Amino acid sequence: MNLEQILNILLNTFRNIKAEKIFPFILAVGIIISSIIIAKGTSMLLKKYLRDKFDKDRLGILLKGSYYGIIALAVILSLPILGIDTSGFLVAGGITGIVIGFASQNIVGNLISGLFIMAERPIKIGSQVEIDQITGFVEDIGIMSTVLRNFDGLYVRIPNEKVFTNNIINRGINVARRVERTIGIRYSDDTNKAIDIIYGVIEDHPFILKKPNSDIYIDEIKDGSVNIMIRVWTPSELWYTTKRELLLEVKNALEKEGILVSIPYRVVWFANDRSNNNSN
Amino acid sequence: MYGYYKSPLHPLRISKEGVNLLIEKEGNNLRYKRTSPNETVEKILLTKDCGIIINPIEVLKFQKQLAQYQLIEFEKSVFVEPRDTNNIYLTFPVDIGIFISGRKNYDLLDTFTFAKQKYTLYGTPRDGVICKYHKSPVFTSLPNNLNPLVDGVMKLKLINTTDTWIEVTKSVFDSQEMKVYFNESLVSIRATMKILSGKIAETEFISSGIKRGMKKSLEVLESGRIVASQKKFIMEEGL
Repeated sequence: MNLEQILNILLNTFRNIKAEKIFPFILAVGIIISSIIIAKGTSMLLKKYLRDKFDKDRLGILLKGSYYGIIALAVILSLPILGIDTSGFLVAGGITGIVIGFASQNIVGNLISGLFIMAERPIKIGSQVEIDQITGFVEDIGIMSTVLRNFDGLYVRIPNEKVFTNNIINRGINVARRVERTIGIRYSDDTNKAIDIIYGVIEDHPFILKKPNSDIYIDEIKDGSVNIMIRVWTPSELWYTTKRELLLEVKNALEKEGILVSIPYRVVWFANDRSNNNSN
Repeated sequence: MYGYYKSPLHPLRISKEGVNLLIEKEGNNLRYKRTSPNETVEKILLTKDCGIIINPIEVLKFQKQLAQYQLIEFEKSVFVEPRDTNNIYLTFPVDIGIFISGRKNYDLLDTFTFAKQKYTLYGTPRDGVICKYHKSPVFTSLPNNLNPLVDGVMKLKLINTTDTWIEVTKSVFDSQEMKVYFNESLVSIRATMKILSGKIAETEFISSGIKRGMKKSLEVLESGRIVASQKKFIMEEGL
């Protein structure tokens, strides 16, 4: 077979291909190429707007997911154009979807919750938080779960759906926090003097903030003590240290001035003594 | 106390106001020890000889994240005339830095202060900032008889850009930009407070001493090679 014969065969083949067969093919290719362009554009837009809301790794996953998702959709849409019947796929896909949907509703719930947590950012890595009565430091915020390290140093994995639907208390998001302590003194002690001494302790403590103002007042008059409430503000990162130090410093300062912390006591009057006292 | 102390081949001893500094030979190296009434710091310096520089530093004594801002509350409030510029003098607490130097380089060895430490919140717990707190008398001329180890002098230029009288009760600064100048008898900084409205002002440090011939302090941030990004502080939570 010489070159002329090969060319003739090719020409005859092209002549036999009809326009109505080429057009769907070109259309399908066009849809796929357009989808690649749209996917690229969408990725760029998502990157631009979500750059500040997601960290680099997770944004990468999201961008790849959207990119390949758009292309896959375009491929599925272009199959009927090429004459491939996708109704079988739809039925099979529908049934598979229902099965997978039932089986993986928690997984999807966690995934979507994870995306919302990353976008809303109520917590950050390193934040001290309380979620579903679990308190600890946030170690990682994943697509499916959030990892805390509780105060005992234990690893706690919480599914994102639970994180998203529960109340979150973020203890470190504000720069200052209040410390609240109560100290009970004896009835015989001078309460005004005790309050002045406590104000002195607060003034001398560097990390008890000058503003917002501290508040000290008689909270309760109990059976065996006069309870003084101490409310002070401290930088959030020093909240625990200040809380720990405050009561000890107050107690020491009060004792130095002869004001003692009350211990439970009960005055018992004997009937005989009473009648004797009355007769006298 | 402030100054450069060369190669302590003999023990270097400095005692001031209850603080004792000691650098002495220990084997082939040197030992640094500072004793203050409530703390003792000891460090081993792996060098045979070095220079020691003692000078006032910007507000960074305790925890850096807490000491980024300095709030000076005025003992008496100051009223500034509309469209007027005036200078006042305030005091600020001096923090002292001990730097180790050698081989054309230096680094911060230790810090301490004779001034009382107190912190406060400027703004709300949500949006505010934690500041180092100092209450200062207000002077209209350069105050005398201040202990340069405890109190520095800030010359503050108040610029009222508004058409109304403005009462100023405090000033907040970003300490990262603090430029401290000193001599043996005075530690100083210069700053401006540009009042933009009844509740907003812009504060900024100026890099110069308030007297001629004052020496610029070594900066802690410079020695730590941290680049500060913002020069001005906007007081948005009231004056």
